[in-house]
Amino acid sequence: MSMNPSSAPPRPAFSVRGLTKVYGAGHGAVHALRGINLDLPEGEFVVLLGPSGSGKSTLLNIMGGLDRATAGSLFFREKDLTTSSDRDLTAYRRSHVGFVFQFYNLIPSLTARENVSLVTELVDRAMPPHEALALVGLADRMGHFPAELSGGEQQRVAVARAVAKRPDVLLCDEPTGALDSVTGIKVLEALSDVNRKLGTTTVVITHNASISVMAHRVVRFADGRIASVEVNSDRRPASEVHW
Amino acid sequence: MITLSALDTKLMRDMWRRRGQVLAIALVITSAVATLIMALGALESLSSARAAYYERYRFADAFVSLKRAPDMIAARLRALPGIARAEVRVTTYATLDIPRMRDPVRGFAISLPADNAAALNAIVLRAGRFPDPARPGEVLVHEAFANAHGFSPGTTFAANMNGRRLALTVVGVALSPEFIYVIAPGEIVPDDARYGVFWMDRKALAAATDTEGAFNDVLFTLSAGANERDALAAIDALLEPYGGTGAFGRSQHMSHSFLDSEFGQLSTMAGVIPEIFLLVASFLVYSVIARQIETQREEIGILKAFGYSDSAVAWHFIKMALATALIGLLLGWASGYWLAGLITDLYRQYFRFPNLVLEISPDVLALSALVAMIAAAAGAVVAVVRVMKLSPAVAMAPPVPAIYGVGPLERLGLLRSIGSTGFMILRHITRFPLRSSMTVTGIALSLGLLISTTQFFDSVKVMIDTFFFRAQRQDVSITFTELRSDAVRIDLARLPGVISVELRRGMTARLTNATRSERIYIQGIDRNARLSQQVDIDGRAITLPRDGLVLSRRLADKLAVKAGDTVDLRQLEGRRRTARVPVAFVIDEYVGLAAYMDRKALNRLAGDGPVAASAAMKIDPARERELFHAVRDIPGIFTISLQRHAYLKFRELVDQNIMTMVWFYCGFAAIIAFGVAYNASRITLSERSHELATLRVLGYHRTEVARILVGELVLLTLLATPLGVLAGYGLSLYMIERFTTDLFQMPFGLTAATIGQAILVVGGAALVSCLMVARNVADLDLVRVLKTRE
Repeated sequence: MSMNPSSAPPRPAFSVRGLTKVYGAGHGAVHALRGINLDLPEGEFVVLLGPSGSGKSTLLNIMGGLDRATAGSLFFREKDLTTSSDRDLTAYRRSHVGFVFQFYNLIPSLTARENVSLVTELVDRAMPPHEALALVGLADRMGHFPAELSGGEQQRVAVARAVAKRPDVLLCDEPTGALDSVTGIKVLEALSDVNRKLGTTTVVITHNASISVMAHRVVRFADGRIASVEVNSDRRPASEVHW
Repeated sequence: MITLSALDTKLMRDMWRRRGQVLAIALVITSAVATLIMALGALESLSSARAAYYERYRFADAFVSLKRAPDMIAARLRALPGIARAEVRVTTYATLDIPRMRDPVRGFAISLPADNAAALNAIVLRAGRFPDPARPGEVLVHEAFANAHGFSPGTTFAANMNGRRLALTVVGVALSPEFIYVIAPGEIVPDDARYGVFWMDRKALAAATDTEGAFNDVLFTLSAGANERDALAAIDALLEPYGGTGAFGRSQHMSHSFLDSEFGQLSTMAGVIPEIFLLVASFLVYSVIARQIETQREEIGILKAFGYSDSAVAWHFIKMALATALIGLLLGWASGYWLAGLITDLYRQYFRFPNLVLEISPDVLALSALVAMIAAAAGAVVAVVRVMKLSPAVAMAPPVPAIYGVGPLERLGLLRSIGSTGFMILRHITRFPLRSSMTVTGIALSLGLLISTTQFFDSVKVMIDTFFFRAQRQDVSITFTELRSDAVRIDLARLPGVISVELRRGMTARLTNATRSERIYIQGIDRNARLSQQVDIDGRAITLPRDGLVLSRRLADKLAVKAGDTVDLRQLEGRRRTARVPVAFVIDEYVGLAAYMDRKALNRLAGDGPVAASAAMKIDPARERELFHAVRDIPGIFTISLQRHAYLKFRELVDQNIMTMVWFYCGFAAIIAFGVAYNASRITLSERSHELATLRVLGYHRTEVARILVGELVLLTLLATPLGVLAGYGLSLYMIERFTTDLFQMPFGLTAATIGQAILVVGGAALVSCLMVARNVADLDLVRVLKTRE
């Protein structure tokens, strides 16, 4: 089933209510999220923007089942992640979430193909690793180790690794942060392809406001609150992103 | 108040942060120091106690027994070249009637010296008083014997010697430097209840043994610088007409040589076991410091940029190793002292000293400190060489990423089924070959150590099996007061409960090959004997040749002869015949120095008819008591002893001593395995925390991630196992070789069960430590991993 946000009434992949995250206690307490509310429809490409410490990473971590909220709720479909056990969160990450990190986080001792296999071995409906690598344009680099690949190639392997298990959501934390613009755009193209072809809900954190032109939805953060949510009527392809 | 420099504060905090690893290494060093202190402490205590005892109570340098010589010969003995003193005395064996003791008891009676205060082998009075020469029945008994029976002054018992029965009264309890280790002739373990030494007035003893105005035993001290061999030869020449059975020096004195063999074992222990621990400690120090340097590259760069010299930074890391060694050293001193106390207590049960105190000299402490520090420093120095070379700029930059490659096995496609995590394990091991091999070596050494120490159990089992169940299968042994004709067999067979009888005879002789010569007791056994068989080290029963000698390997080596050679035999008793005798063959067996001959051949050689000196019998156990009772009243039967008692005593000795030691060794080996595995896992966890956290983020469960840590260690342990078994095999052979003395040779009997148990202990310790580390997978910071470059 293809999910096209513009034609069907989208049901939320994520539904966030009063989500609060406080690190520490007393005078030293840091309020990372101050009771935010947000709905992210299935299949959208969402960009989270905002300065450092504005709360976007905290939200992404809770969405990814890596961190727990102090108060409020965050539903992935019908499942409240804020009340899930550690084991449930691992199972959630395993079967629903794909991650792309700023520093790729590839396993240096595994080849590109094996890095992808690392996740395809975990789930039943996964794509074959070579297919995932072909999707990001690296079919001919499968046998290389991370140290033998450029930064952009490494990040595309990371994207392939994230999408190979056909996740329901793709969470990307500064995926182009460590890359120059030419390679960064290749990675963005890969992400946008996956979003389009597989209908994977994609959430991208970035400092780079220019990326927002390719998003369905742009969420701006400031000081632990959502400053604005814009729905982008005129999406541009990744190839037109410049920085 | 002491103020620490900034670097020292950092050192303390680093050590605290790595306290698990610091402690693991410290414990390995503790084990090294503890075994060293235990072995050397016990060795020093025993040897200084023996030296002091010998000196204070004038232990003789040479000894001889003879048939009988008139007292006037004593002056000629004193005049011999190389002899400083010669003291004559009377000794005899006896059978004793001890109240409430129904088993046969053997005794050894010695005449009291005229002036104990100046005598050789002087007596140490422990309780009571010296016998009154006016009261011939008064005796001093050896403390071991007194303790076994609860004797005190006033107790009475009876002795049968030379066919006479003497009523004796204990008036004192004593010790003597010639009986530190009291063991009956022909026995393999002491049995204080069934063999006792006692002293009585010379006149009384002479009267009982028909040696008035004569002597049958002499003690000597040699003059300074005298050649022992020449002196012994002179003694033998003089005493030959008087039935001298060959003079011998301290090295052949039973009690003395038994202590010597114990000293040898302790020094072997001190020479092998601590070294293994220290080697492992060096490995561990190296790997921990190397990892510490890796994680602190930037800090090292900053320190150097601030102007700390290379050597100051290097010294900082070496100090960490030395501080770790110091912890191990202090714990080792404490536990070594405790262990040395335990082992000294064990020795007190077998070695009778007037005063055996545990002394650990400053030299031993200093030696242990030195080796511990050297081992730690050696590991650290190798690791810090890299720090010295690192320039500040390079140090502050992120490290060059590790380059991995595909190994030959993978290229062949042999490993496809192991999965991505399998590759992670495999490639990490091959990426750091030095460290991986150190881990493998450490675990292998721990396994080797455990195998080579617990194999003594197997050895002893083989000894027991061979000695008691195959070689010496008689129930009862009887010795006669003098040679008896073979007709005695009929008399013995008539005794109650006797099923079969085999006769034996022995002969004290000197075997000579060119310049090499040994005084030995040749055992004469019937070729077709069933109860006593010679069994070699591989368990094969040996049939004695019709003619010629069979020598134990050690004796053959000492004489430098092999099968087919001939030796000169000089009988040191009876007709004193000499002959040139062929060596029929040489056997590997557990007794150190031994010689055998067919009884008929030996009788022929001695010029005797068919005669026997002792008998071995199979009896009906239900009629044991009846038999003992009957034997007591038969003249001409000198001693009777039960094989079962020897067996039980031997088992008791083994259970007490060896079991205790085996527990120590299991503990020590487990400490090594634990330390090595703990450190290896800690380092892997530290190195791979980023990767492991990534896997957790990707949806791997904790147990799946922990499996990578555990899998690596399991693989290394599997690699270490065959090496450890090989090392254990080699070390076992070495230890057996080193533990072999003139008294006995240990059989090599390493069993699969012992190897299996060792693998379980070592593997178990490794696994437990690794699981302890694997628990930390739960604490991996999943959020940080998204934000940081490794």
